[in-house]
Amino acid sequence: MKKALLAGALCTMLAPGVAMADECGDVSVADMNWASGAIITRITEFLMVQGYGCDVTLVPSATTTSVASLAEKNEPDVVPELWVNSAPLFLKLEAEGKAQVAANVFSDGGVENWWVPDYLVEAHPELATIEGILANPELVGGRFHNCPDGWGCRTANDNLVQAFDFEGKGMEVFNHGSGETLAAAMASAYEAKEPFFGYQYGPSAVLGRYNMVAVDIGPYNADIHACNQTADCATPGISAYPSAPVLTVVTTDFATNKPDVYELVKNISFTSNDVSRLLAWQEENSASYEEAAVYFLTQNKDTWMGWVNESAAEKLGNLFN
Amino acid sequence: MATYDFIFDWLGLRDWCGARETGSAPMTMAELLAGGKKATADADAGLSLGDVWNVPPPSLDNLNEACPAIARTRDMTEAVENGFIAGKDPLNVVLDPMTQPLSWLLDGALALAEATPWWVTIIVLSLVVFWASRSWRLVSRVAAILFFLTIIDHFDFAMQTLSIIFVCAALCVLFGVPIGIAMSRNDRLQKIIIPILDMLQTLPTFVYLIPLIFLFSVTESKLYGIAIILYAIVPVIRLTDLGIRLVDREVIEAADAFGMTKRQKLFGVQIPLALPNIMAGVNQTIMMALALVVIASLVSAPGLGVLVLRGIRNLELGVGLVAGLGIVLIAIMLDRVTKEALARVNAANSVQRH
Amino acid sequence: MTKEASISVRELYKIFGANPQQALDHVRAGMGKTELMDRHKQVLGLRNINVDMQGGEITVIMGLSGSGKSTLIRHFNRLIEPTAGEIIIDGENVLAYDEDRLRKMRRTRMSMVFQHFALLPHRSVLDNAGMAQAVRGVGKSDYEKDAATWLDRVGLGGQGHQFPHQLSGGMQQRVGIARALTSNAPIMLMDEAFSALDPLIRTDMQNLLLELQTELHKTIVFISHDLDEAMKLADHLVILKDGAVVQQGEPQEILLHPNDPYIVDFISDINRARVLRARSVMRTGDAKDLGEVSGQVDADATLESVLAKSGGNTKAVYQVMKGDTQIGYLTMSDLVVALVPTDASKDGIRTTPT
Repeated sequence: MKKALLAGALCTMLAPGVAMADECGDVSVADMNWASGAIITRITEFLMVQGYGCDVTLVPSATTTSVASLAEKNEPDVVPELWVNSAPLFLKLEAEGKAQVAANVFSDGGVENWWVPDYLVEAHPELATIEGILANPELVGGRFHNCPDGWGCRTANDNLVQAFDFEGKGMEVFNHGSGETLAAAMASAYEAKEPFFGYQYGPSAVLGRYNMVAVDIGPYNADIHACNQTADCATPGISAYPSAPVLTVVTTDFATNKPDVYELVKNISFTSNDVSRLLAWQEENSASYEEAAVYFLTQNKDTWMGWVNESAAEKLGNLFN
Repeated sequence: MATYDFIFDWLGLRDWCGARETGSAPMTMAELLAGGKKATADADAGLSLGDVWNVPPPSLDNLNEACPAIARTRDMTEAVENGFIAGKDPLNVVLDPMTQPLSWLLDGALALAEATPWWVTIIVLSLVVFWASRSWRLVSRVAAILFFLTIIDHFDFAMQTLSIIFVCAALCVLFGVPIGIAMSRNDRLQKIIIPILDMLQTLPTFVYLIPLIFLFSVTESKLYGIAIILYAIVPVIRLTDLGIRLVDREVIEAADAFGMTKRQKLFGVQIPLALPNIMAGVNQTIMMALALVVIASLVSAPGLGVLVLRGIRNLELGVGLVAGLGIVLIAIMLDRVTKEALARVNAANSVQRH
Repeated sequence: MTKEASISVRELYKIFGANPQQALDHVRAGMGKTELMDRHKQVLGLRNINVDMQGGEITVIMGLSGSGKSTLIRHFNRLIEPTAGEIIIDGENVLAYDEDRLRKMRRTRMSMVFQHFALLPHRSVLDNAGMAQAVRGVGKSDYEKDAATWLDRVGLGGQGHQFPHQLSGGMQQRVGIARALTSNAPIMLMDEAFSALDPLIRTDMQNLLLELQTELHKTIVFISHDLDEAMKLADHLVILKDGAVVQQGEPQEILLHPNDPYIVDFISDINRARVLRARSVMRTGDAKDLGEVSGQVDADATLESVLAKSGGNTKAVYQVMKGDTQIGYLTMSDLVVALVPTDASKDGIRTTPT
């Protein structure tokens, strides 16, 4: 079996290698430290290696560290699933021309919202709106679970909390120390069927797994939201979150020097529904990131075949027959 | 054909192993690249050097390929998780009320720090330092550090960190010294506890944060309180045990020979003579508690750790460094004060060695 | 004045190891120390010790290292428990005492002085001296006077406020003796009490002990490895080797009639003139037919002093007096013969002939 495996891998790599050698070469891709990012990275890696003959290096990263690395060292070449709201530094890089947007990796954008569990809304329908919640704070546990310090949503939430006058209405604000505890709080509350009210972004494993209802904060107002996102907003106002831009970002050098692979990267995109389902599947089957990527590739052949160019499609087709 | 098939065939366990249900396990990348089909024929072509060199290890996952009845590693981790979740509720019923006082203490200390005006706090702390060390020089240094923190608007954060450290270190000493004393009297107990202490010191804090987050609500301060105490209690236990065991054997013999009860011996001889070591343990415990400040902030502890995390997340180098400097200054302050107190205890206890 | 207490040791055995009772059977059957060590990995500490110590006397137990003397003395106050045998103090077997009675005995009937002083370093000299009474529950104001009196008696008057580390070795041991005396216990155990002191101080302390003994008549058990010291202090001398008694009796007797090559080697280097006394060497009866009597000497006078008195006259004859009665006579020729040291035994412990 080992022989066949080695042979198979070698064949798929050598054959196109001769033709593609001078077109691809080394590519570095950021390997984000959360599930959806890691899976997308592996899908990207697979397509690049098997379809384009690239030599891919995965660089363990996180949101801020990957942007810092782009800023200082112009690496890695590709950063999939960058949540720009949490890394505003990227906009500066884009303005300077060092990096550019390749795609909206979540075609309908990421979701940022305040949530309550579905069983709570079933029992008390008024809790679906913020007014209902503030009229009955004890029904949701009397506490709002806020983002950790340093996240973009923290500033926005703090301003919104002021605008809604949580303190006056008897709603305590609990500032979490990290994203992990925020997710853990939601998960353990849902498991125990306890009240919960707090912030979460999607797609994420916790939102994929538990049925939460988004609280109606009101309509989205671009100006008010822009002010809410700055720390010294003089007049915090009420505005819902827009869908969050989640991007695949590349260095301008990569875009210029490897146009074919850059085309591939521009095409890689998912709906947040797709991703949530993938995450749910992964957790149910205790699959690793790699196995989840394989699952996606085997189940969605038509989708990703549309992302690659012709010669890549041919090589990849050989693998799946 | 899996590599380790031959073992199970040879042992006659093929029936027990059962047949593999196709499609039950997620496909791995290796399988995908191999064409998604199981390769046949070539596998029995005999062993080559390459096969021997590349033999896969007899791990659970590889054995599972040959014999589906053997659990994979991920099944084992899942079993651990399920076991923990099953035990969580009954455990909670016992542990929650026991640890609730810790939450009260921490919340109370934080509320007190917040409510007290800055100048009152500085005066009170200076008086405490004087009582412990009787050194005006040290008092002026401590007051200077506190003023500095005030000027750079880090005073509130620093006081939050100090309150947490005080409460946790005090509890560490309260529980750690008796445990150390018990250990010093009983060799078997010592043999049991030492590996536990080793584990608490080397197990990455994140690893024992996981069950703690499961057991206790994330919003309770006892979560980070317990994490800090578990990590920082180790030095005071070890050094108390050591200190008591190291007391001059002849002095202990004299205590016995003149008819002291165990209690008279403990309070009249052993603890006073072990005090230098115990104080060294207290000093180390405080330092280790401070080392956990940033991790504690990851689980929602207030204080300078929050500023450090903000600096990391926002790539604001300055914020992180200055907050870190604040932590260092607090560490220096506590270290010097406990060392001065230790020196005073030592002077009273000078032992002539022959 | 407390009643004089006598100590009897009957068939005492002590074996250190994992299975002392089993080893005991072997030893009773005749197995020796080395064989026990080699075959059973257990150490034979004491073998069949039978000693009677009279009340009001100084009994010196001496031997080389490993002879078991320190082990034996610790049996009297049960700091070490025996494997078999009896220890009878004042007619009662102390091995049958329960914890409370044992503690009472240690507090009121026995005191101990240690080789390295074993003072409490964190208490003053006065508190150390009064320690035995404090252990009994006597308040400081009550034991202060007693302690001060005894400190005075041992030559440390006015030093009560000092701490042990401020005193020299000799002074610390005086505190140790004062502590034992302040307890007013009839039995005093002294474990190589003077071995850690320099020779001049040692002589002072021996004289101090003898002086106190004429006044107090305590039952003293004294451990030593120094034969000169043993000869000077002992009323009754017990010599141990490898855990067994080799010879015991009046020191002069042992010196004149050693019964074992080991003893012969032991005493071969001693200054016989300084140790032997007139009463041991004299002849009984009148000296009428030996000619003119040169003078009188006390029964307890050392041969050295008699030699000095004779001024070199080898024909001198002296009457030996006890008080006013003559009990015998001593010729210079007898004296000179008595001065000849015994040869080192051919099968003794020395390797080179003296």
